[in-house]
Amino acid sequence: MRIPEQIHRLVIVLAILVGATFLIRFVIIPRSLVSTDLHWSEAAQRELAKPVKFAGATACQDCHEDVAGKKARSFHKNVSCESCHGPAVKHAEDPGAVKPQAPRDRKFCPVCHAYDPSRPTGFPQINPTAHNPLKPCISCHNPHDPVPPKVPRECAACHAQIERTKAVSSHALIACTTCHKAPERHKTAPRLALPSKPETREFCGGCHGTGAAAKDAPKEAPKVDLSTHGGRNLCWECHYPHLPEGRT
Amino acid sequence: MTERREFLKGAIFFFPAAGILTSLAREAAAKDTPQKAYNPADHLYGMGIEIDKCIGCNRCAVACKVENDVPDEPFYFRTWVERYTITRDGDVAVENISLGPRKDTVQDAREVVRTFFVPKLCNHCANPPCVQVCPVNATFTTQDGAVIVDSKRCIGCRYCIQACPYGARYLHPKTKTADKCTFCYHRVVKGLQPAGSCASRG
Repeated sequence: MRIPEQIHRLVIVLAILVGATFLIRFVIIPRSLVSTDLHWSEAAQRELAKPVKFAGATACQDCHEDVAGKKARSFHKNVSCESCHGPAVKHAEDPGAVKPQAPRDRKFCPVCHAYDPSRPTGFPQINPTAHNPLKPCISCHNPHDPVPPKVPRECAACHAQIERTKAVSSHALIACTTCHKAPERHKTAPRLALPSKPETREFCGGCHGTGAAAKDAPKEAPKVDLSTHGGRNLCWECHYPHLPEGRT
Repeated sequence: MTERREFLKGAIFFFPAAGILTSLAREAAAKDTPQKAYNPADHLYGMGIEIDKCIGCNRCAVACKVENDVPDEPFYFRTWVERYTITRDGDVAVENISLGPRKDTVQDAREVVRTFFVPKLCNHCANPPCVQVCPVNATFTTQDGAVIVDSKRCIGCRYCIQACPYGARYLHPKTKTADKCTFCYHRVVKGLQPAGSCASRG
C-alpha cells in the first residue's frame, strides 16, 4: 500500500516540531535557567559569602588568654564572650580601632539573672529592685568569675520561694535538711545530683503520729492516728509540707 | 666507557634523591594549603536544644538579628523565645517574649503547674513542607542539611510562610522575599558556631 502524500508531509512537519522543541529545550535555553542544581548551588554560594559579625570564642582566646582562662574555670564557662561584649569581628581584625562594648550598668546582668518564674530552678536569680539597689553588679561580682561575694544561704539561695513560704508556716523552725538530704554536688550540678525527699507516711508520723515513734516530737505538733487517718494516701497528697496549713 | 660509568653512578644517586626531594616538596605544598575546598556532601548539620536549660535571656534572638540583618522591628524573627505557662486547669498559655518588654504572666504561682522557656527557630526539616509548596523552587535543602531561600528566585508569594507549621518564616519588608533561619550557613561551613551562641550552653 502506498502512503499518501499528505501523510508524508504531516510526518515531516511533526518531525520538525519535535526536533525544534528538543533544540529549544536543551540547546537554546541555557542550562542555568532550567537547572535547579545550578541555581541552588549559586544561592548557597551567595549565602556563604555573607559577612560574619560574631568572631566566636576561639578568636578572643588568641589575645585575651588571661581572661579566657579565668572564665573557662568559672560558672560562666559556657557563656560566649560576645554574649556580653557584642559582635567583635571588627575588633578581632583591627583591635586598636574598634573596641567592643562592655556593659557595666545594672541593666545588663538582670537580662539573665532577674527573677523569672519560668527560669529553671537552681539558676541564680535576684530581684533587681531589692538586691543592693543602685550598686553596679561588677562592684561585687566579677563577670569573668562570678562567685558570690559570700557563700549564699544554703537552700534559700535558689529555692527562695519555698523558703519564704516555709518562713510563715508552722514548719518555719524545721531545717530543710530534716526532710531533704542534699548531696554536696547538688550545689554545683543541681539537676545531676538531686536531694532526697521523704517517701513514706511514717516519715511524717515521726512527729505527727500517735505511736511510740513520735514520743520525742514537740507536743504542739498535731497528732493523728496513722492507721485510721487518710487511708492509704501519702501525707503530701493533702498537706503541703512547706505550708501545712495552706492547703487541705 | 668511563663517561657511561660516571653517568650510571650519578643516576644511582640522582633518582632516589629526586624522588625524596619531590615528595618533600609535595609535603611542603600540602602544608601551605591544609584546608580542602568545602564539600557539602561530607557534612550533615543538626542542632540540639535542651529546653530545661533555657533561661529566656533572649540573647539568641538579639545576636541573630545583628548577624543576619533581620529587620529591627520586634515582629521579624529568624529565632525567638516563647514562654509556656501550664495552669492547674490544663490551660497552656504561650507568649513570645522576644516581642519586647515582658509582662509578668505568672500571677498566681500556686495555680501554675509548670512554666518554662522554649527557644524557637527553623527546624530544618528532613522533609520540609515549605520546600514542597514553593512554586518556583526558590527554597531548598542544601546537601549538608540546611533549608535556605534563594532570594533572587523567590517571588514573595508567601505560600511557604503559610506552609511552615512552626511559623519560622516571614516576608522580609525590604526585599519582599521570604526569609528564614539559614542555620547560620555562612558560619557553620567556616567551622564557627551559629551566631546566637547560647549563653547557657553546656
